[in-house]
Amino acid sequence: MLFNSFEYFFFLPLVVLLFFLLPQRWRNPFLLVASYYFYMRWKWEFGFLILATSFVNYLAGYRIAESGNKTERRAWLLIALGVSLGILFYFKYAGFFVESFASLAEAAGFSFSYPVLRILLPVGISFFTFQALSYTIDVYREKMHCEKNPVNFFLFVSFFPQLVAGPIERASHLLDQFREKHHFSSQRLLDGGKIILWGLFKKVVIADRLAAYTDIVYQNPENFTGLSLLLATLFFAFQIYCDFSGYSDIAIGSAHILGFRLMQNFNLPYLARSISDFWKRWHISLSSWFGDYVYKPMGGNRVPLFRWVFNIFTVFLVSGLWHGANWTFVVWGGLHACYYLVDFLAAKAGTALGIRERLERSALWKATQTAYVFIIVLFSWVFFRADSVQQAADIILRIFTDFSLPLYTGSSAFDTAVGLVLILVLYGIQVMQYRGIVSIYFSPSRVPTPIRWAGYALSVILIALLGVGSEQFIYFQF
Amino acid sequence: MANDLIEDIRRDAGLRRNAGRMLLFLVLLFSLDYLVSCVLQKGVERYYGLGSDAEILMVGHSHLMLGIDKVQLERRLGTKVAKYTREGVNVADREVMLRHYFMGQSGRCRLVVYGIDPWIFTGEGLSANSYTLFYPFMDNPEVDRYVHAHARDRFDYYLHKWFRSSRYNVLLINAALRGYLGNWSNLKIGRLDTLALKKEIGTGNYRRIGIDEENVGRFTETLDFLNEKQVAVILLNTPVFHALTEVQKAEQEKVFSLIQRLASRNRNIRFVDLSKGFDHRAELFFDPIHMNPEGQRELTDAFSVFVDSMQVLRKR
Repeated sequence: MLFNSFEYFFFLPLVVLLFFLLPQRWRNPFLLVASYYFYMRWKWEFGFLILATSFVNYLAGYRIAESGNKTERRAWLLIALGVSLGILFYFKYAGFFVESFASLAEAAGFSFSYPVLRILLPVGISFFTFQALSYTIDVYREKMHCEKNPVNFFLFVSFFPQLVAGPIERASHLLDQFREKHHFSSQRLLDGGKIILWGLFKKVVIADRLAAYTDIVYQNPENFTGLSLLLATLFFAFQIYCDFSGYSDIAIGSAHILGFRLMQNFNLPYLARSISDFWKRWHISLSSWFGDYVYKPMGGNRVPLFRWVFNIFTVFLVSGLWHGANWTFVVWGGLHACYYLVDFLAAKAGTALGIRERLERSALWKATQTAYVFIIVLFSWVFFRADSVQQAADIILRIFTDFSLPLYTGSSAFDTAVGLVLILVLYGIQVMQYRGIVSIYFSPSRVPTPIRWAGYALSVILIALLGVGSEQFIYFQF
Repeated sequence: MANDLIEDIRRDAGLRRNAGRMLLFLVLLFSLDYLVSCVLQKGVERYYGLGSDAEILMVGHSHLMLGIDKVQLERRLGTKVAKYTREGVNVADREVMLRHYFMGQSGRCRLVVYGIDPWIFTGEGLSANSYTLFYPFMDNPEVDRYVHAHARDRFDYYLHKWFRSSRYNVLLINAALRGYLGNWSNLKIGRLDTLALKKEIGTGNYRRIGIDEENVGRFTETLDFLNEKQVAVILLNTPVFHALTEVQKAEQEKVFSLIQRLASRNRNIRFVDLSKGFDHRAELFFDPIHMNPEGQRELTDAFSVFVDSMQVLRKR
């Protein structure tokens, strides 16, 4: 079921109503049924995948907690990792690795036939797998107690607002909330509704409108000039941001109405002033997951310089691969690792030269930093969006060498102009959010109430006027 | 069962205030919705010339929209022209557009220019969602009945009935803006890439011409309707770049001879093919099927000379 479908806008109020009508002991089982229904509406067979992942991690967590034997505990952890990542690998990466291996063998002069794997990717598989694993690893590390109630645990893995595209919650944050009693609150209803509205606006008005231009240009990039490719990449940068953060907002808002607090997944990433800052603002739940479960166990930054560089590259390359089974994502991850290291070196050089503090006080410097981060992130999006590394390289070459006209104005020039205006509006709102004038999530706002409410009404009207029909969310494929 | 919820509602200190806010929000929303839709509707009507006292009505899709310049035609002929053309409308849609136009007319219209092309009968017959084109005019009882009868389901109908902004989309907003600005210019600036087109045709990637009987039936009904209205009709074939039609010349001739046969049943209807003299000139096309501003200017010149020679506007 899509968040931007009418079906969801019947589903959510019904779930909220029944949830608060039911006695406490029936609420979690009801949410569990609703969550599986939500997921299985897309393809019912894949419900068994969540069931299998949940079961293995529940059992492993239980066994790890019960056992005093280190070897046994480790064995259960490995079983959970093996089964969960095995399912993820089979559905997401098997075809990619078989093809890559075959290409490598061919390059080395060997030739062999291999079966072409056509496996349908279950939506959100990377999200629920990582969420379930975080629990098992935390239990293994004795950072949290095991959850004995299977309903609570299975609900933790499948909770419908964040099931298919996050935020990737930690057991220590979400699981405890399933043990609490939730009360209906009209304030929460309004606050959650506002966040859903903003998320929906970003998705159907901005992201899907920009997608029309981006899709046409990236489908046959060889037919377009460098300027058109640049505009398509700019549109993609905002498309993916509005698409993904829009989903997260609807997830956070929906859970909030039910009384659950989900973690913030985005915090104005295009206003970041360094790459490390960008990654503290973009897909926060995934970055912190990799930080906690990959980077820190490898030693983090408390290792020799060479090893630290290796750790950084590992995290970013794995993060790239997490997004999709294609070398384009690996290059994208590699680029961000390079950016991170350059950032680090620049900061060190600034400190050594004694100019860093002075620069940090300059507004012009801050603006330059924001622009620089945006441009290098924009550059990396070419790899993220292109079908192959070769295509991405061709696009970049054209952007930097082909300044000819005409600029492709889209299937409708007016539509494209509307897209540009929407980007400017979004950027303006984000700057106001950054300065604390407009609220972000549940923070207070300095905008007078009547203007705020007129803004909400206008958002509804704009969704009706400019909203694009049910396009799937980009991050579902991850 | 509902005890917990009732208790929660009783304890909710902000309930009264929030309910009031919600109510005010709904009032604000529907007021804004009404205001926006009224502004847009006026603009759309101006752009399409609905309710105007035009003597010439042009009905068709993007070929005609970009092929004939309304303002230039008005200047040349010294009369008012309504240009009711919408992107992608098929034969069925055009029939409804004509019926819609004549619903609100006092009978000043004397000439209907109906855009045709070699693909006019291609397709799967009646479009299942043609009715969506008429959402903005649902306040008209006849249009409302039409939308009601054809809507996908009751939810679809009532959503557009009660939430008026949902009747519009970005194309209609563009039309409304242009209506207010009095701007009917062709903005498709650029020139056809003939090499790319050749490549496309070479790979077989072009739209095939076909004849669907349901479409022919609907077209015949449209001509009968115009006949009842006692207006002169020009079935105008605007130019398509020759490379696209030469690969299916036989099919094109079949379509045009069928149109000629249908037109010949009534002496008020004339089939006019303006493609000769234009269809080999790539510099006049934006893409293989749409004229650029220069092409539009030349085509409108040629068409206005033809209409002038018909003398239909001076008859009465």
